[in-house]
Amino acid sequence: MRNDDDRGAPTPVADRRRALQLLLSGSAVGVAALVGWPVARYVQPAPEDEAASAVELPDDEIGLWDAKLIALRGRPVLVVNTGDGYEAISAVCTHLGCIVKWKKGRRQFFCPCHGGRFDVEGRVLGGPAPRPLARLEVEELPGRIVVRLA
Amino acid sequence: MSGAAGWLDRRTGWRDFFRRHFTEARLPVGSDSWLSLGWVLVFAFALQIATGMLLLLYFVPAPEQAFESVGRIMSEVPYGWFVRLIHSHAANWMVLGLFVHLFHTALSGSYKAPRELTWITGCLLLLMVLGMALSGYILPWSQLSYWATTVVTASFRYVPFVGQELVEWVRGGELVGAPTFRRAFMAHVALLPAGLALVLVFHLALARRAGPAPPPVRGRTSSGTAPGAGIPFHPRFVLKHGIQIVLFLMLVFATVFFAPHLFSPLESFLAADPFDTPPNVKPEWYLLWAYQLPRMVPERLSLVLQGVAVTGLFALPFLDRGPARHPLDRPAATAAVLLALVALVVLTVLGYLA
Repeated sequence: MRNDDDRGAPTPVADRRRALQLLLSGSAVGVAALVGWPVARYVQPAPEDEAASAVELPDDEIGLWDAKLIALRGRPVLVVNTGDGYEAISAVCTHLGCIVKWKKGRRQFFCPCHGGRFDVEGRVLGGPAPRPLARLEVEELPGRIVVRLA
Repeated sequence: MSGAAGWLDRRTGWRDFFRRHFTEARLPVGSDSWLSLGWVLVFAFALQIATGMLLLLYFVPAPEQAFESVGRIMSEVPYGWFVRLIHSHAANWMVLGLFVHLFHTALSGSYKAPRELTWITGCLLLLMVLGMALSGYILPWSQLSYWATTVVTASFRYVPFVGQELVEWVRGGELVGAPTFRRAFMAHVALLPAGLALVLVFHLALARRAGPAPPPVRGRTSSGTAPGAGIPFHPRFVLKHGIQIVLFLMLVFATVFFAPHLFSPLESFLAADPFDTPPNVKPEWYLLWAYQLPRMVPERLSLVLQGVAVTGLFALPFLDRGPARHPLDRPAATAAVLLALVALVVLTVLGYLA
């Protein structure tokens, strides 16, 4: 039994108890981290397949100011014949991810979701899109064109 | 006490539990039918679990086969159409019921002490049910599922600092695809139902502990019922709740039989095509307000407004702390709740007409 003068002063028992509590709390944090880290890594999006990052097309397949929708690593890409060459533009609208369509008459890309408009090089002409459409690399070779992820 | 019931009672104490929570439990005098809505929602959740389990017998959880398997459920599996339509219609009515339950609780001041945690868990349940509805929406892998999911998940990129990472994390990749489908399936059939059941049990336990709030009376601040006072829960309110559940089922069956396509626009009958966005993609009716808001104000501002609305919703019991519960005795809180309700309805209607 302690007298009143001892009240408030840490006793060996209290010290041991506190040390044990700290040890237990530390262990709990450690175990949570040990379990949490692999789980967090597991639910991260898996890395994409790096294969097929280029698509080849015959150069007579797309008429003047026509567009062809191709898939490049699963992503939709519109290739437009401008007469001076080819433009390959990501068809994913930078606003909310809808697929833009090519309007040959206006020579613009148009998003059916919220009315975003882009020129043939992907620059924003109107609507809510915050950024231009992504441009891809096009290589013109004899008789064919190659579209690559930039 | 003898026989199987007695044997079970000696080991579980179920008779005492039944007595305490049913036959001897009392509800405040004047309790009205609004009280039953919570129990209707519990029933709706159980109905979702039951019909969801039945659908899992035939649904193929892979994006290449999901749309076709839903078609099979609707046209080939005996009564498959019935089970699936109950699942989808009851889900929609459940969301509506949750909104009604929320606004009734807010307007009657039933979130006040000692029921703050009941309110907070209720708000959490609403968000989880919306998550269930959204994740279930993608599973048929129709044009509507695909593009509504694309638009809804893309809007997460306006979250400050981690927006783009969040979008990719939710989708499981840069674009909506097979990983998104698998994540939605896992969330819809495992993570969210388990989480929802857990929070629901906590919500009900809290509601039972504090007891139902008596109907608000002008100029009075009563927040509970004296022990032994009130109306017995059983049989009076068991019957009342039962009647409301039957009314809920009548509503579900009425739309299932007489308006089966009420919640299915044309795009929901076309298989998902990731290379072709149909014109005028819209989310389900319960998210039309969130769809319409960024069309009227700058997108970042709309995100701030949504953040403020959700924070305000959770914090309501701590913002309106006075003892008065009648709507007319606390005009500021009542005006704020009514404003939120009107904004929600107007934005939903505008989104529908857009």
